[in-house]
Amino acid sequence: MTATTSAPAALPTGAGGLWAESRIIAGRVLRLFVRSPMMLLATFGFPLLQLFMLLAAFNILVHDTLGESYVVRLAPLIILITAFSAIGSSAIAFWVDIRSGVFNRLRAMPINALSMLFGRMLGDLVRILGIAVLVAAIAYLPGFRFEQGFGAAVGFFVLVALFGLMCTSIAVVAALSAPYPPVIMAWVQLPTLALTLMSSGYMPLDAYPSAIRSVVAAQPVSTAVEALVGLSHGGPLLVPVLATVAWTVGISVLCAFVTVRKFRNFVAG
Amino acid sequence: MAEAAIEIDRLRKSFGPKAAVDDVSFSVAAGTVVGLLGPNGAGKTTVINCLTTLLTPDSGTARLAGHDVTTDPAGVRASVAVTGQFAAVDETLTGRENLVFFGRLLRLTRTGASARAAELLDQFGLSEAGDMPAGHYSGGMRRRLDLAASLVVPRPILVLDEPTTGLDPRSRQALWDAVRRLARDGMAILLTTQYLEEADALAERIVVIDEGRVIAEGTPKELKKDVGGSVCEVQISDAGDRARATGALAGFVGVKERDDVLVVPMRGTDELSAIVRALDGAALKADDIAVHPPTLNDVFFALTKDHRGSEGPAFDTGEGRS
Repeated sequence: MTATTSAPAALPTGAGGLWAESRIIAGRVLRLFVRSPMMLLATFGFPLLQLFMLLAAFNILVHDTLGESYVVRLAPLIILITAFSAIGSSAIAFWVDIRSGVFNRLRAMPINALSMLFGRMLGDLVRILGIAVLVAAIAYLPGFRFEQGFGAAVGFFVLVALFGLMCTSIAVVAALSAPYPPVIMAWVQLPTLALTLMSSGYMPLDAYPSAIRSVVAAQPVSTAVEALVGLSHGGPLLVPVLATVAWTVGISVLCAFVTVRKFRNFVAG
Repeated sequence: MAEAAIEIDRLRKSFGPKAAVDDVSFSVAAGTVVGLLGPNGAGKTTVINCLTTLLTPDSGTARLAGHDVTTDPAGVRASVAVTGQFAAVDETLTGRENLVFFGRLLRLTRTGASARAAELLDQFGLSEAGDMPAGHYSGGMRRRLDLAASLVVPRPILVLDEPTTGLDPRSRQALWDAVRRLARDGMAILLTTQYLEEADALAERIVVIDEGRVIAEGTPKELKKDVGGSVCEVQISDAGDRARATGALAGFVGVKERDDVLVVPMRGTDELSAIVRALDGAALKADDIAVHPPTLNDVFFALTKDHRGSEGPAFDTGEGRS
């Protein structure tokens, strides 16, 4: 049942406390995340396993054909996979959240309603970045290095953050749109899997049939992998970075429009 | 006299063509408990949602601690503690973490929130379970934690939406004690419930609503007087037998049929044997016979009959008011 008029609870003025409230709610998001073994496994354990399995299976092959270590592209790809895998788990957590009693309690409290949304997104961003740092550190063992200096390393994580922003934006839209949680996995899993498998992270671009090569090269995971490789190992930088920024910011803005409209309805009850 | 803590005047809220709340007026003074009583779908939760700014009323006014829900929702939210029908606590977080979380959101410092959490855990008998995830709590503990979470920051008004639905008697008693304490401390408390017994135990005044309208208002004693004494319920599954039983019980006043049960109002316990004799005389065998004191159902049966029989759009709610 939807209210015919928008509730006064909608979006109260006085955004002064919004940042403080969002941080507190982000803290809760993170706390719930680290207490959920399934989420840790899905967004951290499993991608890490992929890293070492794929390295074990293909490192020699890639090294022989490409003349460079596979970990150079695989580690950035795995970092993007951890961000991707955050979409589903975060969307489901948020789906449950905005239908829970806690959400209703927050709606009846003198706080900015947007903090529930920003808190979720901020929490997601922090966890995506945290896991990215961890994966990068662990990938040091099989030979992943930041060889382009400190500035490039910072740029590396800024790009990961942008990619994470896109992921949490998608997660929020999915949570606000899905009639029930299993739908979210159906929406999210296949496209993200296709994008990661059909990217220049798993296989070098030249290995793809020429007919689809340009599509593979232009899709966001490929551009992000190329940009991250450029910022860590070295290589072409300008085009992949610009393309990645365009993709991530573009999709995030698109999601923001949908989110604002849908979230308003949720807050109004 | 100063304005009551909760002042509701001709409140109206419709969902589409259906009026969920239709012309509801009542008030709650500081330090008192008022019970809002009604069956499922009567409009209780809609009233609560309007009072807690989760819904905007279509017309009428509701003022809480002087703040109007429509023009000053922020003021209302800062004055009202709400405990909803379903425990609004995080099951993964411990009881203490839940309280600290809400305290921090309400601008308590880290240490202030911790201190307040410890205080509340103690006050609601949850100290030992404080560091356990709320998901492991029993139903009663969860409701108490929920209530505590509403009280992290002191507020003049408490709204309780069916706080004991589904609780065992002992947990219910513990929650009632907590509510009484809060009223003694001066809070104005509005409580919705489906149980007459609960309103009876807690509320100084009861407002009965049905189909979005106030159909009666008064003290529990006044309401029960209207309903009368205990009732005898005679269950007869066979429709033909039931019809004959209705005839056999024609000597009793106010017999009503509710599904396969005949409800016979009793003026005294000796009437039970008279009822049994009447059934025996007609060679009828009841599937079940039960005697119980008046329940909300009975109040309701009595009240809704009058209400629906009355003509005119506005039911007079003035008689019970002081």
